[in-house]
Amino acid sequence: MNYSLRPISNETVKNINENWFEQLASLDGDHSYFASGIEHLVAWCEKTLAAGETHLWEICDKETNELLAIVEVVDAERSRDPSFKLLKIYLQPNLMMDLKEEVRQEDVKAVTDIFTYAMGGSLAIATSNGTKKLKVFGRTSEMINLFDSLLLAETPGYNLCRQGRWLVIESLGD
Amino acid sequence: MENHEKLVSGLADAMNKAFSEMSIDELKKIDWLCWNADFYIEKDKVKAA
Repeated sequence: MNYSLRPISNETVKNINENWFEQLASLDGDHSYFASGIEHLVAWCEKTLAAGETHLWEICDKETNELLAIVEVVDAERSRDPSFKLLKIYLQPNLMMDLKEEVRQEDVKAVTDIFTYAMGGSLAIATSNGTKKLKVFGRTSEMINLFDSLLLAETPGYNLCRQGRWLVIESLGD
Repeated sequence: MENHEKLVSGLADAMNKAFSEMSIDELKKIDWLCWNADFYIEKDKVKAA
């Protein structure tokens, strides 16, 4: 995996405007729903930057600087159960499953690599802020089922469990 | 391999396996894979009704 995870910047907004709409335009069919979704994402990024907030991050390919996803990670250190929370990942249109007629193995591998990198990176954000726990939110029952599959993963040094709609990844180290 | 790398690698193996066992319709209902998961969920409800 050759990705980078960093806070969004004005460059991120420029990247979405220049590349993500172009990706949609190159696909067949009516994708006005997705265009609207990307417009909302751009507006949210701009608002976040203007407010100086730090809960939106970008995942890019290190070599090409291609913007692959936007990740929402919030600081919940002050909650009763201190953690950071990975709430949502917004993939670029070329990676979206609902824009594909056919899904190939390499498509699945690409999104798996990005998702797991996002989880690892979000946990690193948490630990660098003195918190050992990352919670990942699942909205659909399919997502919850996916979380249950991840409980079987080999993760020495980390404990995984599911609490309701949350996958909890906790570092066991110091 | 450090534990952090093992974590990501372990999650990737488990996620790859889980995704490979899903149909395209099921993949389209995974939150992060689909901008319009609601559409597919509602479509299934209508089909079932």
